[in-house]
Amino acid sequence: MRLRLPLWQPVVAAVFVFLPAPIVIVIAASFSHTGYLDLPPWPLSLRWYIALLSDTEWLGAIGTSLALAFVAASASVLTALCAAQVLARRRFTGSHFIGLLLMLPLVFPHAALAVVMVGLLMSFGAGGTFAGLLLVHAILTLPYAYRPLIGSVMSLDTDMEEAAMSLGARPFYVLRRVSLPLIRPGLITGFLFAFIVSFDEVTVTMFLTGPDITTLPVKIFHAIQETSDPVVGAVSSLIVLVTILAVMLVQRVVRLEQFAGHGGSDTAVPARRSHA
Amino acid sequence: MPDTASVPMLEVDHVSKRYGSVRAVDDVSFSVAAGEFLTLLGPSGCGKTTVLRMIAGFVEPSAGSVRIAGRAMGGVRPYDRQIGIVFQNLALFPHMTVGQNVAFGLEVRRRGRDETARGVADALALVGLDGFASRRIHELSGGQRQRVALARALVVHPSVLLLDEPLGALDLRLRRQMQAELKQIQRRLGTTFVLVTHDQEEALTMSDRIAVLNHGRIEQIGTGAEIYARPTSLFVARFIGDTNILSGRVAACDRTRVRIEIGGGLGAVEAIAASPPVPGSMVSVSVRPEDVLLGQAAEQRPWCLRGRVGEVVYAGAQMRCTVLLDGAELQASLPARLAAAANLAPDVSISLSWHAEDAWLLPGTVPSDAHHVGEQKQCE
Amino acid sequence: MPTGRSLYLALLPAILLLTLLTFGLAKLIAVSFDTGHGIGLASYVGFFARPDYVRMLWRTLLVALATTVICVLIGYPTAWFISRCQAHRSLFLLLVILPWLVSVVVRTYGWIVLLGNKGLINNLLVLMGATQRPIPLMFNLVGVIIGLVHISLPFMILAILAAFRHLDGALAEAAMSLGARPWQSFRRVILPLTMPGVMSGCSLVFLSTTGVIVTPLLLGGLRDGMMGTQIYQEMFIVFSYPKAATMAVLLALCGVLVIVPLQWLERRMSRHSRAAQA
Repeated sequence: MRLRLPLWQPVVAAVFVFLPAPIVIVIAASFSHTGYLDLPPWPLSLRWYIALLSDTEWLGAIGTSLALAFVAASASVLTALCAAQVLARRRFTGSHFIGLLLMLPLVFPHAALAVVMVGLLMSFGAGGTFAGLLLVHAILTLPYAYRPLIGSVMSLDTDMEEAAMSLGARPFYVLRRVSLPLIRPGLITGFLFAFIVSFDEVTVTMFLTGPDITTLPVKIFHAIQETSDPVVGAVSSLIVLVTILAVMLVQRVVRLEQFAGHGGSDTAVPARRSHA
Repeated sequence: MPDTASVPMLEVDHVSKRYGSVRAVDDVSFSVAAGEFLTLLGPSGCGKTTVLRMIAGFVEPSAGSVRIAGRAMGGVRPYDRQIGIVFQNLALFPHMTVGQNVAFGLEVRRRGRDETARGVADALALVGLDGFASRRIHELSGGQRQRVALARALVVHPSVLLLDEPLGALDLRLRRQMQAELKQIQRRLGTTFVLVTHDQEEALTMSDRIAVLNHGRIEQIGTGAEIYARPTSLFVARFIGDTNILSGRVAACDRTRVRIEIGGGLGAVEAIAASPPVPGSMVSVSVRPEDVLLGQAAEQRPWCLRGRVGEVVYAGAQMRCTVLLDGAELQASLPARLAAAANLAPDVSISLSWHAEDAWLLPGTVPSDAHHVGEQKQCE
Repeated sequence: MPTGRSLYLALLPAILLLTLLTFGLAKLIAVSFDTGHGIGLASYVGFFARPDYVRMLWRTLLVALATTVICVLIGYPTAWFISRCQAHRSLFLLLVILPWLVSVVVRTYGWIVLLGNKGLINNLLVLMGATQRPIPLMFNLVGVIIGLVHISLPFMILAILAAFRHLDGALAEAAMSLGARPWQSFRRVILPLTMPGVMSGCSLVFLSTTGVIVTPLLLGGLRDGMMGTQIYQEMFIVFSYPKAATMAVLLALCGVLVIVPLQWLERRMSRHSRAAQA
C-alpha cells in the first residue's frame, strides 16, 4: 500500500543523498592535490596517501587500532558466547539483570561512560596502556557481540545437541561439530560488529589514550582539531575501506537485513524479548 | 554383557519424575524384550515424552531406575548409553550433508574411514536412499528427511531406538507408508524400538505391545488387540478407537456376564466383565459402534433398547448412524448394504442391542453430559 | 553441550567484565557525592549554582530532542520505503548501514569539508551566485545537529525497519478491505503497530545524542557547548575528575528520566501489537 503524501518521496531521496554524502566527500577530497575539496577538484593526486605511508606515527596508530579491535572483539565475542550459552538455556535469579547489564554500554551516554572508564583505569593505573584500552573496548563492544549471539543460541534447536549426544558425542565434540557451526552466523556477525565498533570508537577512547599509545580515530580527531593535516583525508578513506571490507564479509555469511537487525537498533534485552 | 535372551533389553523400573509439585511421570514400570516394538501412547502432556527422555538420559528420574541390556543407567550420560533417537523435528544437522549426518555417530566412535563409509552406505541403502549421501538436508522432501534421521540413528546399531512422534509432520498418505516401512525395517534388523505417539492408529498398526499413558501413569499395557477389545479403564476404552460408554448400576451377574440397569430408565443391557462385579455398584459399559445391532437384528436378541435414528452418515463401506435414546446417544456403524436393508432414516424409531460378549464392563462412571458416543478422544 | 552446574562457570568472564563496569559506575557516583569531608550534595549544588552549566544542560537536552525528532520524521518514511522496496532492497540497506559503521570522526571530517566557509556547499553557492558571502553552516548548532542527525539516523531507520519487518502486510490490506482510506489505515493500523520500533529508536538516539563529544567539539561553536564537551574540558583542561563525575551522573540521570517512560510505553505498545499479530 502506498501512502500518497506528496512529501515522503523527496524526503527519502534526500536521505539517500544525505547518508553517503560526507563519506563520498572524504574519499574525493583525499585524492585532491590540496587535500581539501576544491572546485574544480583537479588535478587528482595520490600525494596524501604517499605521505601517509611514510609517516610512522599514523602507521603506528593504524596498527594499534587494528590490533586493539581484533583482540577486543575476540575477547568480547568469547565472553558473550559463554554468557549467551548460559543465559539462553537457564533462568535464574539475576539472569535478567546480567542480560540488562550486558546491554548497558549501548545505552549509557558515552560521555558519561568515558568518565566511568577513566575512573576505572585510574584505579588500576592502567590509563594510557594497551591493556587498559583493551579492557574498556571489550566492555564497550559487549552488547554488539552479545545481541547476535544470544539470538543465534536461542534459535539453536536443543534437539540438535541432544541428537548428537544420543549418537555418542561428548559435550566438547557437540560444541565443536554441531553447536558452533550452527551459530556461526551469530559468531561472525558479533565479531565483525565488535571489531568495527572498537575500530571506530573515539568518544570514550580519547580519554584513555596517552603519550605512548593512541588509536587511529583519536589521532584523526586531534589532527582535525589542532592542525588540518591533509593526510586525514587519506587515513579516513582507509577507514572507509576497512568498513566496506567488513560489511562485504558479513554479507557473505548472513543477509544484510539480519545484520542490521542485530545492530543494537533496539534497546530491549533480547533474552526477555524472545521469551515474551 | 548379560545374556540378552533372559534379560529384557530395556527395563523401566518404578520411574517417577517430579517438577516441583507436578508429577510428570508417576511410578511407571515396563520392560521391553530384545527385538520388541513397544509404543508409549497417550494424549499430549501425559508424560510419554518425559519417559522417553529419561530412557535417553536427558532427564534424570526423581525415583526409580532405567536399565538397558541389564545395565543400570543411573548417572550414565546420554552419549554413553548406546541408544538411538529419532526426534520429533528430526534434528538433522543442517550444516552437514546426508552422508555426514549419517556418519556422525561413527565418526564420534572413531571408526576407520572405510568402516564409516561402509556403514553410511549400508544405512542409506536400508532406508532406500542409496546415492543420496552428498545431498544437502534442505534439498530433501519430508519423507526423505525422515529416512535420513532413521539411518543416522540406526547406523551405530543402538541397543534401543527411541522414536519421539517422528511421523507427526508428514501428511496422512506418507505417514501410512512410513509406518509400514518403519515396521519392516524393525523386523529386518531385530532392533528394539520404543515409539512415542498420540496417534492410536499408528500405535495399533506398528507395535507389538502398547503402553497407554495418562497423567503420568500407565493405564494399561498389552497387545493392540488386548487393549482394543479388553480395556481396563474408561480412559483406555475411550482413547483407543471409537466407543460408546453407558453408565448404570449392576442389576445381576452370572459370573462375568453382567446385567446393567442403565441410568434414566432406559432399560437394561448386558456386558462381560473381567471379574464378577459387586451387585448394585455403579459401572460403565463400553461397546464399539461396529458391535451395535440395529433394527431386526436387535429385536431378535433377548433384550433391546428403543431409540430414534438421529443422523445417518455415509462413510464409504460403512454407514454411521446416531441413535438418540432418552438422555443419551449412541453411535452405530454397519456395512452399507445392511443399513439399506434396515431402512435407516432420521427420526425413525428403532431398536438396538448387542451381544454381551461385545460389550465390556468397566469400573467407574462418566459424567452424564459425556454420555454420548463416539466421543472424539483427540486430546491434542 | 555442557550440562549441569558447571555450565554456570561460563558466566565468569562476563561477570568479571560487568563487575569492573559496575565498580567504575559505583566509583563515579561515590566521587560525585564526596564533598572532601563526608558525603553531600555539594558538587551538585555547585553545578546548579552556575547558570552557564544549567543552560548547557538544557542545550544538551534540546539538541538531543531536536535530533531525535528530525530522525523520526525523516527516518520513518525511509524505513517504510526500504521495507516496501522489492528490488535493490539490499542496496538501500547498504546505503544506511555503511555510513552507520564508518567512524564518527571520519564522517565529521566529511561534514567539515562540506559545511565549512570554504566548504563544498558554500563554494557551490558562491559559484552559482546564490550568495555573496558564505552562509555559516558550521561552528553553530546547525552544524552540530546536521552531524548528529547523520550519526543517529541509521539507528532510527534500523529500529523502525525492524518493526516494519514484524508487520504483517495483510493487516493494512485488511484495513483497506474494511473501507479504510490509505491515511486511515496508516494512522489506525500501520503507525500503532510500528510504534514500538519508533520508541526504541527514539530511546537509543536520545541517549546516544546526550553523550556526544566529538560532533559538538568539531562542528559546534565556542558557545555551543554540551554536557559532553564540558566533561571533556573538565578532564583535559581543568583536570577535575570530581566535576566531570558529577556531570556524568547528571547526564546518566537525565537519560534515565527520559528513557524509563519511553521504555514503559514501548513495552505496552509492543504487547499490544504482539497480541494483534498473534
